[in-house]
Amino acid sequence: MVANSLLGVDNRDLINTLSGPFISPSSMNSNLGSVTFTVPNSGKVKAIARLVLRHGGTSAVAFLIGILEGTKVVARKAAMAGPLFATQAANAMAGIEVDFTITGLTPGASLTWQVAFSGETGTDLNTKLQKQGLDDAIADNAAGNNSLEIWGIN
Amino acid sequence: MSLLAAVHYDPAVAVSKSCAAALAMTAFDTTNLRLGFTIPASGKVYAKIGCAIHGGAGFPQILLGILQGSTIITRRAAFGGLYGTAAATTILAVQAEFTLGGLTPGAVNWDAAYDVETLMASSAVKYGGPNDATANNAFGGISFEVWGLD
Repeated sequence: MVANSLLGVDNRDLINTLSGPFISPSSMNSNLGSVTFTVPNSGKVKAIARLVLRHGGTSAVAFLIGILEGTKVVARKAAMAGPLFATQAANAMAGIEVDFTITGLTPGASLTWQVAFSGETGTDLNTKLQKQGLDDAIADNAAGNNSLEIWGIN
Repeated sequence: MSLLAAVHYDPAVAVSKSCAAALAMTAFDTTNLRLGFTIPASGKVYAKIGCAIHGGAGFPQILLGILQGSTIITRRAAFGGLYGTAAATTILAVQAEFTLGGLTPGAVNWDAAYDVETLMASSAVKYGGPNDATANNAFGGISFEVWGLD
């Protein structure tokens, strides 16, 4: 459910080589996108992160997606995933999405929130939360964009 | 549309809600996952619950729903999708959304709830856990939100 007003969005889709961190056990870390916004008078916002998990390998991994404000964990959650279109293979991609409804923020505060992840299971140097890629006719070299949206709520 | 109430509960010590036996609709936590709010004059609200299932290489069949005391307001098979193979360490995110009409305007207390239709002894609904580099010990928050509709 989209809320009332868009406060900020980071929608990265650079035409560049694939990049992004691989999954391994970790605390919440890494900047997968960030938005600086002003908290509305209600003190309430909805944050939506949309990412891509790219199976460069075939090991099972598990992770959480969250929001960091500096080193503070604002929220974290198991991400909803679009089911794999095929079996888990070295070229399989899955769109993942997570949303948070956050209340009790200080109205007028300027905040910078980053999308982050924590690995919970599995270390696969080839299975990554990847973004961007080349726009060409070469197979398996693009993942599309990541995005972070921050919406104000009444 | 306005947010009437919301909670994202993510305790530092993980919580496990058993799916090892068939279960009627049961509140997750009447302290931390209860929303008190006023149903608007329209009598219409939208609600959403999101959580995770973990622990077995298979998954129990559960419903997510809302209780008001012992009254079932609504319930639904949750949806979710695996981004990899199903393993004992896989975290399956699930969620359910409800658009409800014909409610009586006024103050209520609603509890996020679940039931188990087909058990899976090793799997459970889980939430919380430490934020650290130790594998397989955190499951993120469980969320419950209610929005007013015109």
